[in-house]
Amino acid sequence: MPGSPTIWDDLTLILPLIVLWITSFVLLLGDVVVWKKNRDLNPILAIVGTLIALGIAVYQTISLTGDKAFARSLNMDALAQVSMIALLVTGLLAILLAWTYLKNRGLERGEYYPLMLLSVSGAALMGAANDLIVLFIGLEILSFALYVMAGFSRSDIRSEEASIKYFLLGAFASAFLLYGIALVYGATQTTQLSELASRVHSAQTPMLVAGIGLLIVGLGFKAAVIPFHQWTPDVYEGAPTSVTAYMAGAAKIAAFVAMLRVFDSLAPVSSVWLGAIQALAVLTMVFGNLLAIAQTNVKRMLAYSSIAHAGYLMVAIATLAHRLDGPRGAQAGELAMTGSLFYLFAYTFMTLGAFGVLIYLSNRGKDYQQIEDLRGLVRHDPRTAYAMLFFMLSLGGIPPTMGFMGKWQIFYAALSGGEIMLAIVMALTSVMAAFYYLKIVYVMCFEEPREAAPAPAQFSFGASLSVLLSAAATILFGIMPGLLYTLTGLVR
Amino acid sequence: MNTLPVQIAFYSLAALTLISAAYVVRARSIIHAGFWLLPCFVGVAGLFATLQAHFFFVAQLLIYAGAILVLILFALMLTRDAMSLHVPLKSHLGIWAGLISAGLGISASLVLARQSWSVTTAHPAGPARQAEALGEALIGLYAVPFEVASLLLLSALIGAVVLAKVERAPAPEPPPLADTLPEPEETRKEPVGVE
Amino acid sequence: MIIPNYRLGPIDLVTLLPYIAMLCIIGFILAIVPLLIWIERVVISLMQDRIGPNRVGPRGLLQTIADGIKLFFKEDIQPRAVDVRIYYLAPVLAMIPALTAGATLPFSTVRFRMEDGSVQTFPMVVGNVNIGILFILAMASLQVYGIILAGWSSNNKYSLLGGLRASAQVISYELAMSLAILSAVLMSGSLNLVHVVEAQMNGFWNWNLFAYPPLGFIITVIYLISMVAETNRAPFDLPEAESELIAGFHTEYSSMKFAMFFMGEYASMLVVSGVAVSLWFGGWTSPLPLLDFIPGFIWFLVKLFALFFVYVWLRASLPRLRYDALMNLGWKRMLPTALVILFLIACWNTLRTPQAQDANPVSEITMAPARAAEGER
Repeated sequence: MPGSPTIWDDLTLILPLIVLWITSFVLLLGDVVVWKKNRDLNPILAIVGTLIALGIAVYQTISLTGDKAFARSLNMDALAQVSMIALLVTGLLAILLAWTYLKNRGLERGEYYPLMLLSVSGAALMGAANDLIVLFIGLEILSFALYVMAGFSRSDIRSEEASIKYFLLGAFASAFLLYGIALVYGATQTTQLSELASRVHSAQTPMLVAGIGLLIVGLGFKAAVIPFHQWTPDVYEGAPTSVTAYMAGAAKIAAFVAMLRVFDSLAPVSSVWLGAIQALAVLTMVFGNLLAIAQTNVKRMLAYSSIAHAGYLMVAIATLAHRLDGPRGAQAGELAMTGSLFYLFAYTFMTLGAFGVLIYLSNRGKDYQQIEDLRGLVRHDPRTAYAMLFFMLSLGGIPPTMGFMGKWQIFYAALSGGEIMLAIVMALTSVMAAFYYLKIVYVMCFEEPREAAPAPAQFSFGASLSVLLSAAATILFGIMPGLLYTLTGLVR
Repeated sequence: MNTLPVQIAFYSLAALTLISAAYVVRARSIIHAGFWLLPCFVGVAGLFATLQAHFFFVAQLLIYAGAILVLILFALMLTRDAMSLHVPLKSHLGIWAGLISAGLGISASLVLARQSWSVTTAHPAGPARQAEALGEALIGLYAVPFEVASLLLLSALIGAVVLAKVERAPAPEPPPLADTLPEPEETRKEPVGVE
Repeated sequence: MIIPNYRLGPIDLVTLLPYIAMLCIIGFILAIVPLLIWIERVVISLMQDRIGPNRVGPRGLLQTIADGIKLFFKEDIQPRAVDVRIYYLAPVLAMIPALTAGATLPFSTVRFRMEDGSVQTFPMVVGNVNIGILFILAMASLQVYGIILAGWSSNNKYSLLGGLRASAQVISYELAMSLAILSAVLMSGSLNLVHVVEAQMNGFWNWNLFAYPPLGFIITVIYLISMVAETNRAPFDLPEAESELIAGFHTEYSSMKFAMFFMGEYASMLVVSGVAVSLWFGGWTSPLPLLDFIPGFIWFLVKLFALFFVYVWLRASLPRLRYDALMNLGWKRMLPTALVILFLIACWNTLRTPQAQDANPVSEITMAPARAAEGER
């Protein structure tokens, strides 16, 4: 484009976000003013808006129009665009799930979808932030919406508990993050990540170290890394399942893309933070998987499984530290970057799929949460059981699935980056993880149902489509990961 | 500007801020804690004034002391138990909390003190220029955070409505605003007495 | 009238001007309140076809003085259940912000003959700061603490209700008020009240009241309404509604503490009226150029008393608003209207920007004190 970029160029770069915002405003007003009774119009319009945004995001990513925007406070590069695609896909699947779940639970209130779209945009801003302030505000938009959505089921005391717990701990973690940003700013006189990368090396003071430490705490909370994970099981269990599914996907993507960005620009001082990240990765992988084994509630188990997955992603972040250690390290860093994006896609599909199965089953007038509830599922609802089987295999990282491909990429990156110890822990804990995922498969397939066959689940368009899409993606990208590589490979 | 009056002003304002902040934490009654925030905010505003940041001095007073704190107090007064001063406020973890806070505070001040701050000798811009510079920063360098903060407020607003709105199910029409203030105890007991 | 710039050592009259202005403002506010109360009572009784105060002094002029003396000697009752410290702090906090807010209010100009024989004009203002109007706004918003603290510390249901009403009301109307003030700032292009007044010189047709017709007029009305609400005066006197809440937040106050609330209320009325005069009615300037020989402070006082008369007039004629009507008016009528007007004025300014680039010259009047202050350093 000739001449200096104008405001229109900047606005074009964030067009998907603008579409999301406009959709949420339309939904907010429309639900109150225009279509007061027609509850199905909310999810349909939300889906339309998300699809438009997704289309624009994919087009912009493929046409490689990424650039820094708005006085360099946003960095709409391939990482931002690919993560935005991941978030929009998450949002799409979650809207489909919510369509069914909210109807079944009688929670159809007009505010749900606008809140969710706003939080998607906040998460996308985190992924696109080139400024720590934008990162913080994006995080807060994401979190505020999630706090409220977690407490959306007002009549359910566990939902309220989840909301208040998440809010209090989240506010605490935000304070850590903000203090960390302030200290990093004090040490380097900049909040822009691209500037930070060139300044940190000459600003290695105790203040910078403290600032980085606080950043790790703040982001680690959002990403549910042990020991900042205490909220996760309770919130995952208490929140309405459709919210849990969305939160699991979106919060994880946003937190890890933000971490990738922050630690990518902090790579020149990797000696400061590498040890902490390694320790957190090991702790998270080991204890996330250990604690998941003991769970009897599927939502809680998936919560601990999400912690464990956060551990695997931390391995990728640790690998990123070697980005500047010669060509081999650079290659490993690149692999870690693309690998973790692939992993985030995989995680989204399989986790939303697993929660989707629960939501699909909840159609029978009962909230399916306990592992016991799934007993002998294969007898009376084989299709659902097979879908769940695929998701469990994928979460466990067993070959022909997407989960395996993602894990393999991070594993390979860690090996080539010299993080041998982390790679070994990762492999061992993956074996451990297989135990509890296969336990669900065992319960579903090989145990007798406790009661006589319950009424078959009514067909519900939203949840079925969502589960179907997730399952298809899990298998397709498991067998042909190259399709997704073309997208994640753009992130260099 | 390190003249004696400025030093005196700085230390007294810092003391005002810190002491009232300590009272905010220590106060038994949550309303008192809210009231103690007032000198705390005013002290911070005063610190802005000693830095010749006139605009921020006024903004701090206007927004924090004048608006946010009034809202906080309003919410506290609407809370039912806010007036009971005699609820024991004890926690056996108090001493640990104190130790940890003190440790963190000391290490934070050590970290801050060991930093070699880059000192600028430039004279602060005049108040008019400050307001102008702030305006330019808000629509230039910080346009995105500034605009997006409104989305944050919007989602907080929607959230507040979702969480606070009376559920429609069995209850009759929510009472008009004037009646939502806490009723006096006596009037609520009356029907029981009649029965 | 031109005053020679007397000089004693390093101190001259120009440097002393802010201090003189400070004495004038505080003295004026404290001294005029009895007169204002007398005016209010007389005007209301005229409107209600009564006689009003007529016993103490000529035409009852000394009535309020007598009331003040009586209050002073009354027993200072402290109810048992009050929160003592806050209870005593509240009346003070009701008064101080009002007095402080006067600091950036320019009420006249003085012309000095300098040593070199030139004649320079200076505004009479304590702090000629560039953010004067925001300062007044901040102080006006602190005003409410007196009422909230009083309402809460009295430990009385009526007082608490009064305090609650006050805080909700003040926050609601502060928005409309700030937007109205911002419109005036946009009209004059400065946050400095002296600039704002100077932009309205040379005749009443230059007043902001008549600027951008009819936007200036509407926004003035919005300011006047929110000004009345902000000072908790009738018809917006819900915090102290006698018929519902006994006397609201000051039910439990007696003697001098009560008198201080009274003083604070009148002081803040004077200050917000003074702001209105400066923002919309040309401040100290004369309405017709041929009347320029009358000193500025006289014009200021005339306009101030006219606005005070409006206060009294409203009180005598309008019944008190119901609470929901109050909130509806504030949030659903005045706030959107003020936003739209602010937007329109901004659009208007933007459209004519190319010509208006140099339409904001820095006047000699406002530069002079700045130079004097530089010399002082």
